[in-house]
Amino acid sequence: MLYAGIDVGAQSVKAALFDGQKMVGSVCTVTEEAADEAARAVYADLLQGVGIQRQDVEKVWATGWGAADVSFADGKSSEQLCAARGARWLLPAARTVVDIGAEGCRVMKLTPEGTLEDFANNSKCASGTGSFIELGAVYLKVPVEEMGPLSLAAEGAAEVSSTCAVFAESVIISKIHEGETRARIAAGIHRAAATRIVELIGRMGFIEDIILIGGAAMNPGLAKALEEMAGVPLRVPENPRVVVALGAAIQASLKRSRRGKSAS
Amino acid sequence: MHEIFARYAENRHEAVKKWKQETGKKVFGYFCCLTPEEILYAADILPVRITGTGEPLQQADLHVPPNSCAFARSCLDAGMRGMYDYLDGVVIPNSCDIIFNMEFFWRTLVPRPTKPAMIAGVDIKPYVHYINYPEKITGREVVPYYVEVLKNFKQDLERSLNRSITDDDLARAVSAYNQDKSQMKRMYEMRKSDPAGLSGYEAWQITYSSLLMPKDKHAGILKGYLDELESNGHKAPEGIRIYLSGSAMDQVNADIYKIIEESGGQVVSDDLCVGTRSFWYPLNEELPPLEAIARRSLGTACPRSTVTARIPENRWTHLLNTAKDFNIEGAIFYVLKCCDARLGEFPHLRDKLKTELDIPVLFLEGDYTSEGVEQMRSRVEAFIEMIEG
Repeated sequence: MLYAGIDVGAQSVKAALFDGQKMVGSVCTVTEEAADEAARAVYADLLQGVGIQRQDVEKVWATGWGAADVSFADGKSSEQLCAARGARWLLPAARTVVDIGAEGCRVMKLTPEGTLEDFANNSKCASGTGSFIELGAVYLKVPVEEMGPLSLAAEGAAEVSSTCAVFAESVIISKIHEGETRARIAAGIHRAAATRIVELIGRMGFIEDIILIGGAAMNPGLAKALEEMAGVPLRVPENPRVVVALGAAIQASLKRSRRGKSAS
Repeated sequence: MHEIFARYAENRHEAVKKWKQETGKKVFGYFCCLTPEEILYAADILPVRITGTGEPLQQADLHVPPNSCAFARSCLDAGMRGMYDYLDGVVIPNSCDIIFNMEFFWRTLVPRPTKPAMIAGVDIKPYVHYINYPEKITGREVVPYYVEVLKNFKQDLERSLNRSITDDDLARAVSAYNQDKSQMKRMYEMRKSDPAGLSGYEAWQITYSSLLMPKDKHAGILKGYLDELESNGHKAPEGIRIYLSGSAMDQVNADIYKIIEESGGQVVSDDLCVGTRSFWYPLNEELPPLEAIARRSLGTACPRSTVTARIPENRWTHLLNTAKDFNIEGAIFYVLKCCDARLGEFPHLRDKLKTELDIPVLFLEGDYTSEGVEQMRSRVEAFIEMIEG
């Protein structure tokens, strides 16, 4: 039996297909369309890629910021729960899940049995998220994919403020004028973002194994900065972007029926 | 929902103005659940709690620093904009650090309807009354000291109003307050069942209107309404049983109750000042009325930042008892930014809840706007889903 999970994020829509044993396919598309249309398009891509029809899918489960707008989903769950499900399936020893998306950062604490025990979110500030690093890339005139490798080449790091993405922007510009190397500034940006994220991991108690997921997990510079600052190793799965979508698909496979919610 | 409670919750200013016009009586505004409002009631005055607007500040930001409580700033802004022009006086107790500053701000910045009556440099008919609530609320000297403070306040009122407030007036007020408190307790009792007898939002509307209506009238309407609910077996939508803790919960952020309900939860009790703290502590009718009022005010478990013990034991005791009596499954702390009193006690209460009762806790940082409340939705959903397992 096949289950699909769709994760409508702030910047991209991810979809994954789960057959009860393994992930049989996944898609990730950056989108500027409204959530429902984007989700439809990504879902169609997923089915086409795997070569199956809609009726072959038992259940479609939505998650992420735009989950409520996915009109064709059979149900929805929070991204925290789906992240926990997906991460745990990929790494059965996982106790802490760090999910860094474009606009949000979440850290989930799991019980030894793998259920969600607690979570911490970034509040209304984008520092400590993917868009913070993207913003830095714009000012450094570096493609965002190169930010990580660039920072790894740096010796030390420039001081960049972590309190506010807007303040950090002016710091980056003045560092450029001061003649700092781009590599050191890039390293500073990653450390600034990591400071915020480590704060959240700390609130959840630094319990190993820690797994890093979300789009920003593909950035080796951020992963390194996080490991250094947290002082514990982080595991990054192969395709970290689709873990939450995979979790949604797993959630669909677990849910027999939706819990009766109040008629509101 | 009873239409009177809903009317007060939806447009408090219009409702109070209408009452004032119909009765021709005086209305005083006050801050904080520590206020000895019973004395106002005894003087035939309607005490109404001052709340803010949640709108961007228009005037207060010139006077109050931005890194202070958004609720207090918004209240002052509403006053400066003339939204409280129907008040005949304002009472401000020495409660948290920002509220006690409101005495100065309100006196100097908010237009008053009456002229000061200056005698030898002293305004003998003040518009803003200050209650010097003691810093230290325990110890032998506290009650006699505070009774003295209340006596002075009573005399100030008598001078301002050209009338006397007798012990009979005070006893009448104490009894009216107790009647309303017992109906409010009864309303909370009904929420102990599963599903609760009333939803969190309904309970909030009833509590909020109790801070804006004369207590005898409120008690009467509430009694009738609860009788009706009981006889037709009314139940709130089922949900994970939530304890709500936090800062001032007024019409700006009360949507949090609806968001919790829509996410599959139901608020069944709280420790809010627009909540249990406004009625939980009955007045002892055996005591001289002023002493009974003083003891009620001193006994109110408020997290104001100026208390001597950083985390008073009574805050935890209330939480512990409520968690057990109301079968709490999760606690949501919805605390406004810069609410020092709340933020100071939060880590302590959170850790005790988790370790002693194994109750999960969600912390939400409010900014006193309704959009800010809406942004909490996804975290509330995730929290309730986490408890559902």
